[in-house]
Amino acid sequence: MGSKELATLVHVSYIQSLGKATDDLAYHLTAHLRLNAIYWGLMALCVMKHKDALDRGEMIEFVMSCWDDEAGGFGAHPDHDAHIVPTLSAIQILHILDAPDQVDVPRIVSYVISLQNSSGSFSGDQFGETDTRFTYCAVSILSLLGKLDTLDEQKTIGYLRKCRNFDGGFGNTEGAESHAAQVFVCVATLAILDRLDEVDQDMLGWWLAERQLPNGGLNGRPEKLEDVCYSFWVLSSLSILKRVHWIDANSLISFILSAQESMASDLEGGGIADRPGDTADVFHTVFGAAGLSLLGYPDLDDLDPVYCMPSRLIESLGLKKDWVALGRRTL
Amino acid sequence: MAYVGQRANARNYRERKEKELAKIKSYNALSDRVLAKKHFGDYSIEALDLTTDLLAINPEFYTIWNYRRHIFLNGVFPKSNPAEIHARLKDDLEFTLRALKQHPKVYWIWNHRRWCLEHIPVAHDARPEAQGGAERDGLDWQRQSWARELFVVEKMMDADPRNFHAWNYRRYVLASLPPDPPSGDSPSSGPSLALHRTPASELAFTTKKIEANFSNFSAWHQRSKVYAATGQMADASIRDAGQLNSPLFLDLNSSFVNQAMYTDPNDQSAWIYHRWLISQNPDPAVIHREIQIIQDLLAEEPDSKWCLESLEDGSVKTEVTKILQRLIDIDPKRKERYHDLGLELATATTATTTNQHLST
Ligand SMILES: [Zn+2]
Repeated sequence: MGSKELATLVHVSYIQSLGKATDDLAYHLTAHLRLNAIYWGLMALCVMKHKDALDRGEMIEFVMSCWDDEAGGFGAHPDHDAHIVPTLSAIQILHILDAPDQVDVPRIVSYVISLQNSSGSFSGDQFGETDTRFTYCAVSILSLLGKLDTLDEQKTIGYLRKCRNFDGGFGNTEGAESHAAQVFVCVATLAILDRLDEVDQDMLGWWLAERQLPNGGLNGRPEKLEDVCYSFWVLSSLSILKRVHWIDANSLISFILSAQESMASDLEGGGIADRPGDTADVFHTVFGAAGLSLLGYPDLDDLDPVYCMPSRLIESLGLKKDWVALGRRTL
Repeated sequence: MAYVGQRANARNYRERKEKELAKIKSYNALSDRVLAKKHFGDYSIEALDLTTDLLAINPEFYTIWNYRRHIFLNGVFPKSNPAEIHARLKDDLEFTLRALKQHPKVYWIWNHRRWCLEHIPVAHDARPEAQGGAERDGLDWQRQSWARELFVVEKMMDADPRNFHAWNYRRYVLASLPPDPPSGDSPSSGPSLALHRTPASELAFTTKKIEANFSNFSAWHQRSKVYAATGQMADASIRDAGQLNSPLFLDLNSSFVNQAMYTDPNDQSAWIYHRWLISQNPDPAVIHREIQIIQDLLAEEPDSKWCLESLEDGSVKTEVTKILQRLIDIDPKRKERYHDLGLELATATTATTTNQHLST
């Protein structure tokens, strides 16, 4: 495949094929990520302007079948335990499909609130692993449900402050090294809470700009390899800090496009991999496409970098924050 | 020939697919069986053993880790004495260690180890033979487990010195250690169970990691955390005792960071750390000396982006414009940032000049 353009139609059929791959062992071994994967696939389709390529009714039905009535949240798959990450995926999917009224808002709110610890951190589930990813999930869920007033903001922000490091970035717990994905979740959380004053924006902008490597790709930490998914984690953070132009867009676009799966065999094909030559997956497909959207790649839909949702939808919910992506180019 | 090759490929593909379908069938059968037992609240040893089989195949199946812990809490532990609970948890630590060696980045495995450690019981039986030594305070099982954990995680870090799961886990272990044994009360055999690390030994740990590889940013990061912690200590005790101004001077007054900068001037790890270190020590004499060191390096390596970047951050304004132009030339990917810094500088200069005009 030529790597100069985004092979939108091939990627659309790749995403359509994912739900039918039941004769692949990997499909069954990743059941614990199913709801997250549906969100990634659907979001990739939204960015590529093919939202209707998956069946709306089937998706809603599947989401609702993942409800864990004992816990009051969503698991990633029917009969799997509730966890805050698939709970966010469920709410994102239902919002994108314009079916937000399906969920039991009071129960989800109390589930989310129950996961906050006295330190201000959030656990992912009943057994208490903490991570700033879960803080983001909690704040994003409450914001999308219009229930941010139930959150102890002081405590939440206090914990994020403790996760801030000497390089301006954030880690996944107090004491942890800065990592671009954790930077995204912390910066986006602070953006939702209108508290970007907690970020050393010049310092962090510098650290983020230094994620770009000579081949155009971005890494997630100093002296690590490039990876397509960091296109989203780094660019979304930079968009929120209004410094996305600190990255060289052309070489990053080429890098993402070169990670598109080649169609050497007619059995496979489509999707974007973590880096050129590797096997594509839906996770890198959505974050590659999302990165391209923030870089103004032609003929893509606008993506809200704070919520990782369609920009128009977030605007219509009245939740849009003051971020800046690169202008949409024309072909 | 090509035709034969294609047929062979097609046959290989079919054979592979048949094997895969058989695997899928047995995996799904096992998964369904375990989930059914979970559904009916089966907390038997048989159920426990089935979760072992399933997690050995798929350690990311978080629901099954949860179920396993529920089996322990609701089925196994209530019927066990502390020694039996201890044995069960030791088995699980061995089981997850095997899993970690294959999957060093799976959150759920690390997470289950934490849970095991946090449930190691206090030994009610304080007879010497029950605890392999002298009569003690009942915490030796915990001490032994946490000591082994520290050993295990540091081994994992030898295998991958940038594994952030391992670094995080090590910080967690160090913060969660049981109290050291009462002084003078040491076990008759085996390693010391005084596990707590001093800031000095922790600093030495990061030095060792950095010297093994100057690019290990995880270790530089940890070093900043050690200083942040000793900084607080310095406020309370060391400074009052009048011994040291600030432990941060240690790094600046040793040539440690400079040595890293000289070893590979293109490696950003030491430079990011250096910038932070300088910002913590706004002593003009120190800054002057550091600028001199970087200028010497720049003379040897005229295209060193990081030398210029550091000088840009610490230099007098008239020099900065020149430095920024040079950075745009040698590091064009970030030219917009250098451009913005130049604009900022111009605005700041104009503002200062305007203020001077206004005040005269
Ligand atoms: Zn990735």
